[in-house]
Amino acid sequence: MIEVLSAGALATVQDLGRTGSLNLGVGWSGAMDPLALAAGNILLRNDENAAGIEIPVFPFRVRFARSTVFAVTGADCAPRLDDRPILPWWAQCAEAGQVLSLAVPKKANWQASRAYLCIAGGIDVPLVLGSRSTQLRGAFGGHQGRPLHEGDVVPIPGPGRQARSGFGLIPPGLVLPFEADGVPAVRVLPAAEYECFTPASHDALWSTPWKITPQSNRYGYRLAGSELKPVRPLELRSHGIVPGVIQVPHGGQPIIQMRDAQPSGGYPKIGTVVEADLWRLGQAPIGSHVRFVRCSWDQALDALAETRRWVANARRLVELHCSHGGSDD
Amino acid sequence: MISERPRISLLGTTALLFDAPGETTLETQCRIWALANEMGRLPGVQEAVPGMNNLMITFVEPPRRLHEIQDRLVELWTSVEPLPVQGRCFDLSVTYGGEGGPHMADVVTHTGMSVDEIVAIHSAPIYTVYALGSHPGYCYLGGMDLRIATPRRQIPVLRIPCGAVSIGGDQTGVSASEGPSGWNTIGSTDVVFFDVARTPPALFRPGDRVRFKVERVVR
Amino acid sequence: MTDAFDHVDQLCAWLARTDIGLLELKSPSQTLRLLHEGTAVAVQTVDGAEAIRQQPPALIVRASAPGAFLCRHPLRERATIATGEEFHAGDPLGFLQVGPLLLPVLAPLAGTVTDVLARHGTIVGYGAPLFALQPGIDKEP
Repeated sequence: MIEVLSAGALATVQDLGRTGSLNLGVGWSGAMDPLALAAGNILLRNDENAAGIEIPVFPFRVRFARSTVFAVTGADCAPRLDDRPILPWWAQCAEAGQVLSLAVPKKANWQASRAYLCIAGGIDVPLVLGSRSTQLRGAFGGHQGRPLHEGDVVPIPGPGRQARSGFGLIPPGLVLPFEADGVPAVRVLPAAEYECFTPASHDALWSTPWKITPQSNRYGYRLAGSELKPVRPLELRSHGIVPGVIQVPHGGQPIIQMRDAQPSGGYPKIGTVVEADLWRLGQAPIGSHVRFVRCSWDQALDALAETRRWVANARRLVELHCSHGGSDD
Repeated sequence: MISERPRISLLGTTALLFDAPGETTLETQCRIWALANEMGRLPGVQEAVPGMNNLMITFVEPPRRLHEIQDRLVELWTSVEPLPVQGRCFDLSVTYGGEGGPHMADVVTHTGMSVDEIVAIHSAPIYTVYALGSHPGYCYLGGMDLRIATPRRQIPVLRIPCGAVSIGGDQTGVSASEGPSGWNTIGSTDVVFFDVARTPPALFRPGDRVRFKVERVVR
Repeated sequence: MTDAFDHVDQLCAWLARTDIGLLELKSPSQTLRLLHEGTAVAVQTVDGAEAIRQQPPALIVRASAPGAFLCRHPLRERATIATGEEFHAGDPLGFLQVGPLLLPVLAPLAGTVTDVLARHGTIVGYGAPLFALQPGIDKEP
């Protein structure tokens, strides 16, 4: 097990999401940066979908009850094992009793805001409706359906895993950059009500940077920027939505629905961030800006294929390294 | 927005949204249920999720050739047999107004009716559960009298309690857990709509019917 | 000076073409040390047998796989280790990048870095020299 010694708000157990229960009104949840979670799991030779801990607020400290192989991916939060600095995006061995400390991420050559603590074998909370992700609204899944706090004891599998330590991965954020005029960008496909907005709104959507306000979290990112105006007021029937949908409520400031968003809604949708770029949004810090880049269906699928290739390549090389009697600390 | 023909639009690369033509009706919803059943059987479809006279289709993998699934949707829409409304009937006791109905005054202002008139109109029909969505166990109900329709709020409220009975546009529903909402809350009820330990976890299914019983009106 | 030391230039040229790091020629009174670092060969003469014990031979750490040599982790601004800095056995001195995989270049023993032999970001082959080390006494980590 691992014991939480200190946790900021909203540290939750997440896997890649809970699919198949939209018909019950249960949204997907899951890691805001699924690439970082998958990478951490790959380093530990876990299933990509193994559960880890998503940490959006720092500092965060845990104690390992027994010898454990782990990895910290996502934002570089100057991880330390007891007092010793260790490397991020690295398969690392901790001895029983050692304390892992994560600090506020520094501004690095890649902006990121959420860290992922992955454990060999994955976090061992029960599956609920097929997933270990935390369903905050419904208060189930993950660790007792709620964020972690000090004193929590999180179960992890017993020893005897195949994980090795002493090697790492290069964060995809460094090798798959995507920007517009120097601002981090995401690809967007127009949504059903796109045509209902004014030409000036279209211009603003594609050409201006949008600020991620402090009222942004796993449910949605509230953006600040130009006012987006429909040609006439829209009142829609409730319909299914997915993470990435950019809604425009009456105030004219868009909200990007994120992993814990309601699975349905009725606000007008101007566009949807493509699945391939959701991980970038998931790492965008509060106060940072994002640009929307219009893409075609094919371009969106190409971008998705690119992230899948990164994951497959990482898996292949890690397995190759480990099966050749790879390094151990 | 009322359209003449069904509309199919993209939700990124994650899903398709099928919007049925015409006004929102129970008859259309019965066809949506049937369409959901058929689409849900296709190997490329992860889930077929009915909304209010619309259907969201999530992909297992987004297909390169979109038109195939779009064509299938249109084809099935014209050929499918609507499912009958077959479900149980539930009575929900509601306390209207007061602390549990913080936006009753806004509905009064928008509609020009009194609290008593609004309560009478809201509690008169037998509503049909059109779909589940929004949050675990939440039901979208069809059949609300349009005289009490009130637009969604300019700024959504951060926290509406479990059991909140609300009006959003021309729809009504009851919150199954505490959370944010853009709807106008006019009352509250005690029923438990979702229990993950139960099988099935949700109390209601599409096709069930609901009546609001007036327990109390707080003015 | 005995005959063995007459052909120092020739010995240097030969050594430079091998992957041997050190060649020592000892006589009772003197030692000639040829140190092969990168493409250069340094010549040292050491008087007397004692001096040899004070300075153990230098060691070259080589690439264990082909890849890009990195003197620092991609998320770090400073080099993992600098010339003249001490390290313990097993410490990472730098990295080898193979696609998305990052492998450490580990110190085989404790000591001091005398030279960094490859440039950050360059592609190196298997066995390429990366660091020259002066072995030292392993203090408790």
